[in-house]
Amino acid sequence: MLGKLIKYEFHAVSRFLLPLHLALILITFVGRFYVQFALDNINYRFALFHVSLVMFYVLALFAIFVLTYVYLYILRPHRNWFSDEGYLMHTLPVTPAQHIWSKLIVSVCWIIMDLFLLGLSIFLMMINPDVLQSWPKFIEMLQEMVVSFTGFDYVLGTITYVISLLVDCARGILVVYMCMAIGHSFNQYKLLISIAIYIGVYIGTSLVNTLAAILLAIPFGGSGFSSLFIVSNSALGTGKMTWFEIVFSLVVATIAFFITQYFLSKQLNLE
Amino acid sequence: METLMECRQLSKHYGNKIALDHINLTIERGRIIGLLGPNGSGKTTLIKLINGILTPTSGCLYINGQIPGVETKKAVSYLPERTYFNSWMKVTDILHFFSDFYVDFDSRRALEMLHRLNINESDRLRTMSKGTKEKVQLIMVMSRDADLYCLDEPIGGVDPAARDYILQTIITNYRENATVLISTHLISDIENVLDDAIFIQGGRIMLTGSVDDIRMREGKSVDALFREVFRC
Amino acid sequence: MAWVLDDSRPIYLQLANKIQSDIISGVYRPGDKLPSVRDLAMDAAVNPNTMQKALIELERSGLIYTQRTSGRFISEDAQKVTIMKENLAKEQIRLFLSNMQQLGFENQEILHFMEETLKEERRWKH
Repeated sequence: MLGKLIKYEFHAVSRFLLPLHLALILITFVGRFYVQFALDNINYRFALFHVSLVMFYVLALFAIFVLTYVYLYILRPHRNWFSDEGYLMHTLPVTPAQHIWSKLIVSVCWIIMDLFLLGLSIFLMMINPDVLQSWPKFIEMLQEMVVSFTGFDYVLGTITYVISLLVDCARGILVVYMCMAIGHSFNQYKLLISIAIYIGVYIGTSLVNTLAAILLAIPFGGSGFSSLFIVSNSALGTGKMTWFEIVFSLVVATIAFFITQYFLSKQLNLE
Repeated sequence: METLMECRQLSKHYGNKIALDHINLTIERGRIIGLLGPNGSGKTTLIKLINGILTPTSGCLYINGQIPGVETKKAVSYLPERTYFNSWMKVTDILHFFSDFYVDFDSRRALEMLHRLNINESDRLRTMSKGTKEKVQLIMVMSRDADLYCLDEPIGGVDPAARDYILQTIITNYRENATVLISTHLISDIENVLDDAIFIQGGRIMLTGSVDDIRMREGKSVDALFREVFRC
Repeated sequence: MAWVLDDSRPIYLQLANKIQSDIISGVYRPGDKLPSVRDLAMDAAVNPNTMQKALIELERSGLIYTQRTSGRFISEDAQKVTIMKENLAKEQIRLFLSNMQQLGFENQEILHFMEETLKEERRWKH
């Protein structure tokens, strides 16, 4: 049954995300050829036009990123579990745990796909003979960074970051599910309560995380998933710190999973 | 006769509001039963409890001797008041969905009924009227070989032709080891189709009995009795 | 088309009466096979269980009988149908008489009226 749920979840989610990412690929290719053209025929009269095209590209990238997240984290589970569709989903002969796993697995897969495609897009935009030439150097630099940030060797450091990314991603999704499930057990202000709980959980976990880090006498700071976007932060972390955060995230994710499961099975409150 | 469903001291509260109040009820196999009561009497709450999308506040409910869960969901087919299919779905998507998740789903029966309504597998729900969508949903629900069918207000707000179609579908698909539970406040429309009537009001069972017994005893239709019992 | 049923009497009795009158009026002939319970129920737009009950009622009166494998049949005993028909006729006449008596007519007068009405009807037809 889990397999069937995953199949249908993937199908349903892809209906929205596939065109979105096809658009990303299209923008990338068109943009790439345009960049080539612009570089070959430099004409400063069009400078403003070029700048606004770059702006458009960056905005499109950002929009795709945000839409993917909002859709996977909020819109899809809300629609499928707590709107009229919930009447269909929650009377299927499957357990709440299977419902959660199916959505979690499909969402994590799509997030990875999304990040990969965004990275690829940026790479393709930037690529030129110069970049290609210095590519091995860049990789080397990246490896050095990983080694110096984590204190591990390159392989273990990379594994650490990949696991950290996956776990943080799952944790983020499960916490949102939990907040939504709790919020929808109320008769009124479902959305407001969901958001309030999310903020509470966010502050609470950050606090515990920080306190634990201080107690463990490790230089604190966010690493893992968030560090991909706030590179400055991860510079403070070490590999051990990241592993501590992985364990902490796993604990939070597990708790969120069980609370979601409880609310889906015992406190479901469809309109 | 064999018991299909049983409620013992079943209660459901929403905060301070009592939706069901210590209900004792036994439902047997092979019956078509009307769950009759005014709006807000607890009909939908009872049906949701049977389907496991609500949990009792106290008391218990058994279907085939089991509390609602994965096993009972295999045996209960539920038509809620809501239309729950995505509008982008094609009829064939829905057929696959049901036959994937419900072992007892009979695709051939569903297709036969759909074709009789001139609905094709490749039709999208988006192109259908609200009434047609509701019929598709009813066909899906009735095409399962379930033990218990729960139809929540299937004839509320439909035209007489649609109502006849719904009742006909229920009669055609009747099997003697299965029970159909129909909740409604429009009794005269379905009275001839019912074996038994359950009157519910304010979360309490007011009366249960076979329709013909009630007619024999009271000398009036169940609908007339209902109007007397629930006179405002 | 659904059968016309009234509100006051049990449904199964009304169904039994309807089939009985179909037999008497010749819609079904002696020895005919009755449609299945499900088909009859569909036709009448009633619950199959109720139709079943009506047929059992008719079996009790001997108007139909069940052959275990092949279904239900109208009694081949034509006399039984005739008797049933006569009984029904007598019942109607008795009902008519009692109504007329309530209006204050003597039996002789009723007979006279009857003859007059019949004559009139015959005239209309010609």
